[in-house]
Amino acid sequence: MTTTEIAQSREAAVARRKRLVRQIFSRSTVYTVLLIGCLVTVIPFVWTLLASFKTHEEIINPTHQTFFPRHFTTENYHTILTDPTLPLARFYFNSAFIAISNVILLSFTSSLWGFVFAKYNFRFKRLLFGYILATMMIPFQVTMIPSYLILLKFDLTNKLLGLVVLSWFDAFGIFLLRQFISSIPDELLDAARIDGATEWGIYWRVILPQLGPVLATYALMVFMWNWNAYLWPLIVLRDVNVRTLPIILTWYNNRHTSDLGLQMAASVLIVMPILLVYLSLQRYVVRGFTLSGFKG
Amino acid sequence: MDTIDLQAYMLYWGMIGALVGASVTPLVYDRRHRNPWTGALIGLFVGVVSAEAFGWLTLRLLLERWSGAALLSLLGCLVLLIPLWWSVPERSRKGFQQRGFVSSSISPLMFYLLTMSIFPFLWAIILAFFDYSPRRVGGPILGLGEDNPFVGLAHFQEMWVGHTRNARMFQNSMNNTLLFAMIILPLNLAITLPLAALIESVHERLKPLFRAVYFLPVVTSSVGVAVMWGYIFHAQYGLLNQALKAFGMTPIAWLQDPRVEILGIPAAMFAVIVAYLWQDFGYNLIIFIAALQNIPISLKDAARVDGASPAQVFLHVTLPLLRPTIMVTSVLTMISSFQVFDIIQVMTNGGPGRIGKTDVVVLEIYKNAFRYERMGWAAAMALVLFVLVLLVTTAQRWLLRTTWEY
Repeated sequence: MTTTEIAQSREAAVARRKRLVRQIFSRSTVYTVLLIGCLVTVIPFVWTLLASFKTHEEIINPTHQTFFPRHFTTENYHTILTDPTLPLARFYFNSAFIAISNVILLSFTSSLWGFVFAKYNFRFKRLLFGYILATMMIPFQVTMIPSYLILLKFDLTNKLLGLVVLSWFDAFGIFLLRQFISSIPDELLDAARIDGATEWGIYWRVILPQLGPVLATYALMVFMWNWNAYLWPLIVLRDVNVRTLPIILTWYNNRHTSDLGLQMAASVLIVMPILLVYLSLQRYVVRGFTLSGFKG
Repeated sequence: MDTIDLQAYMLYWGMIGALVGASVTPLVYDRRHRNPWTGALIGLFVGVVSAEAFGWLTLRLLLERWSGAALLSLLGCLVLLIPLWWSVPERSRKGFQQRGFVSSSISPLMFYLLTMSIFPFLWAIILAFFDYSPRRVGGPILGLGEDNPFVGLAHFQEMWVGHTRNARMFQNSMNNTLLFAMIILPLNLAITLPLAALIESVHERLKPLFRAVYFLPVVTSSVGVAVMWGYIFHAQYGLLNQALKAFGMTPIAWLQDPRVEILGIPAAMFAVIVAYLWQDFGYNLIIFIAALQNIPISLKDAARVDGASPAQVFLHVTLPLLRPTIMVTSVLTMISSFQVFDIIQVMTNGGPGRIGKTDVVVLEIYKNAFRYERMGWAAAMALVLFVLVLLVTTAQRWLLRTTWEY
């Protein structure tokens, strides 16, 4: 080995080390930034959760505020769960009833109509589908007032049914499922027809089983929209005992404006279920929302 | 019969008759190998006529003696429909089965679109030209006319040049909405784009973890978000003011004081924007991550081989390829921020100040329609919102008419 070769290999080693150092440096900045982002995302949740375990005195104490509760107490939860004016189980039922009914209705109609639009030809199909896509552009606030007047006419306001009967159509769902069903080969349907299946039989026995994961994702999204919905339930459900959880949260907080610990405990109770659903089914949810990016 | 709203019942009868007639009759027609579309039309007509006639007769004849008559009258459509189904003659030609399926499944859809989409939309437009309130007794058609007079373009004129309190509230809410959307959009993109690129660059195993955390606020109910941030921005006990005090600055009454301004925007607006941004950014983030994954790795490799630094690759390769996605998400973000309601209603309810500093259009629509029962005025505002959304969507269409390929 000549001296120049040794010098060259040493130079290469130095360059390699430099590159490594730079890489580690840039990696660590990336992770630091991402972790700071995570902190910003998570701190409001943690702050709320911790505040719900603080005593009232501790929260309103102007001088000694700490992040973690100094006197850990479950008193706030106890107050909420034993409040006779707040039958919490009833409100959980209301929210769940509306969300689950809508999930069942919309899963059925969206898959059926998605199937029809994907696999059949009929007159005015393009026009009809174009109109369905166009409805996604109309803001809900425009049709909100007449929709309310229709419900009023049918005496469906202040009833849970009022939030279910009008929602068996979802343009986004039809669009999403049509896209997916288009990729199912026609031969499968023809084979079923030769075996003597009726068209409803094909929908039920051939199409629906194929839809599994997509339908699960869609159902999950419908569930979340309905569980978190605020404006429309606020308009339709005016009696206290038919209300859903988000409306009850604001109603309760307006009655306890000074007691922040109580407010935070109430929000934890109301936000928690959906977060647990999300954390356990995280992959489906994220995929669903990614698909919905093409909405509109 | 004065205890029963006859008009409502007539609507019930008609709708049930139309639904049953138009969805079952095609099946029967199809079974007998006749054209199901004819079946749907005939069924619709027979169903509605029968429902109205027999519903009215049942109510008229039986209601005084038996309260169940009201329920029974809903079945009036069956009186003529069942004989119709029975009497459809068989035809020997085959092959209508598919059309039967299509028409019996599409008829309910058309029924829904007519009654719950086209009709309310037209009604919303008509309402904007009337001084309508559901409390007042109006004319026979939709309660319009008489005490709910036609006012023509008066609502729009008032919005544009009016000096009444209503008009000032609307103009203020429009300004606030536009300000809100104009601040949200660039901030949202400035956060989500680099963050998406960073997440895309980390180890494959860690990606889902970061994505899951960043997505948490999106699935949280917006009321919950508003309550949490309301506490953080709380004037006396909030986390933010504690931090300000700790750094020796004067605390701010974020949500109550109309005079304080942060960087030229009202403090309350600032607080609302932070809360909204915090809830919303995860949504665009995952869309950008998905778009980044679709970019062929070979393009980035080619740039890297040519000696481009990671920042250069991002700026000159990735970003141009993301352009369509950025465009679409920008429009969606903008439209949804035009429609902001939940967070503002809970955190500030449009305040502070008499002409609210965070009052937005949807909040004005809600208050006017359902608190003050000025539905005509509210419908006119909703129409303006609709035009705004339409303009943004059309602009997007126009900008996206070229197709990108890579």
